[in-house]
Amino acid sequence: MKRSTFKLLTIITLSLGSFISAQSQEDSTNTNSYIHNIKRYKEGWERLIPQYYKVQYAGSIGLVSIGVGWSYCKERLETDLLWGIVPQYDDSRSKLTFTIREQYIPFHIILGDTRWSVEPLTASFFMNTILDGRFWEEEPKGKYPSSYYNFSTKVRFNLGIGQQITLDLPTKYHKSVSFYYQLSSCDLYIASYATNKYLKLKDILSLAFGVKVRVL
Amino acid sequence: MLLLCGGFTACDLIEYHPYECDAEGISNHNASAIAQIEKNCAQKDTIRFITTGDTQRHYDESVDLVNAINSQANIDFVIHGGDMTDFGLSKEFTWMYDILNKIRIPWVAIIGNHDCLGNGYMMFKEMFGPENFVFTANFLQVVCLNTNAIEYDYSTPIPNFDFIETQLNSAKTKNLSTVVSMHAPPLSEQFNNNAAKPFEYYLTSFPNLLFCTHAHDHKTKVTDIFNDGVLYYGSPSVEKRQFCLFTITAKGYSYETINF
Repeated sequence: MKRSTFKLLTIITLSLGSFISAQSQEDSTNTNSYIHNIKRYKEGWERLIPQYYKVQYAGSIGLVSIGVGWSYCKERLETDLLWGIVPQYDDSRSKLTFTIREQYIPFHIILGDTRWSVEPLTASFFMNTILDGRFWEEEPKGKYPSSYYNFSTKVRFNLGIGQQITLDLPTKYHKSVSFYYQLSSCDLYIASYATNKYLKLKDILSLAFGVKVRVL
Repeated sequence: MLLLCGGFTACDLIEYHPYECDAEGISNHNASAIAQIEKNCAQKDTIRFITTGDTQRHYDESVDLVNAINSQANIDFVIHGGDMTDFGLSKEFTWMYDILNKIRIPWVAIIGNHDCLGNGYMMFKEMFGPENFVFTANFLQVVCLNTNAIEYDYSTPIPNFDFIETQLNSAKTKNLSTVVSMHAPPLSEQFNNNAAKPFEYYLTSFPNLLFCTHAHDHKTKVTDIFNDGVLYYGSPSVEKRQFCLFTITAKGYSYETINF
């Protein structure tokens, strides 16, 4: 074995040894930060676990709608995702709808020593889309001359106000139950109401009743 | 909540969807109007009728239209040339129906392109019946057609030549004069213009075609669309505060517009 080759092998062995020992020190630090980071990672995803369920009757998004949601900003804001069923009636089929609702709840008033609290105002903005091939978001290009209808048959934008009462009643499965109602109207009704004295407020308003079951 | 709802019951406010397609029990309106027209006109030598259309999203003006129609004497029937709704919403149909059904003489409705939107065509079918229909007022046959071709993607024959041919044969055998009514006129962007010339051919084959009426263009107009002598009378939209009045006898017809 040549001298130079021996030298080279020695250097490689030593540096490999020192690398391995440094690596094992780093490993223990890495394990700690891994545990830490994974905890934060899981917590991040855990925030996506829905905090409550809602079941709603009517309200222009279906006969019955069910869904999940999250509350944040000291429970002043809520985001709901709801799926609704519209019965067939005189149509050729029943329809499924999907709703995203953003709700602002400025006041939570606890009623004395009771388990009841009142939310005297809920203000909502919600978008509903009807999941049916005959409805379009924009009129199909090529089929119609440009700007032919200028509105969407598929997506409705709605504004609503309502009230809610909450019963703080923890059980094995949930923390509280709320009961609410909502009065709302959609973009196309408001547009019709704006230019016609003939239409009264009751013609364009839609009433909904619902229950919210808070799990988290 | 009770305070908020005021004088109306919660029941009125329940809606499952703007396109819920609930005709609220209104069914086959045209058929019952036709039965009345045919009965009332069976012995008449002079037939007088009004054409209007495009009442969409103009409820206030439509109330005035109905009052103006009701103030006319000796009218046999009214043809609404389509577009009673703007968005095809279920409530738009029932709102407009409530207004139009205060017309004191029989009235029929033709489907317009706006009435087809979403599931509006299903709402129309339930409330008014078939989209192509015909009725006879003594010596006069009125053929009403769905001409909103681009709303149907060629899945439905529009205009329906089989239906037209049946009426053509009936006009020949019964020796009837004919008026053809539609929403969108030939050569408009809604019409199946590939079939415009065959349409003209069929119509000119009628033994005594008096004229055609349409709506859709929102203005009063008289056009000889194919330069073949067949006149197309366009009814104005309701906000123009005008409607057309036709008087027909065995000898011929006259046309006038009435302002309100």
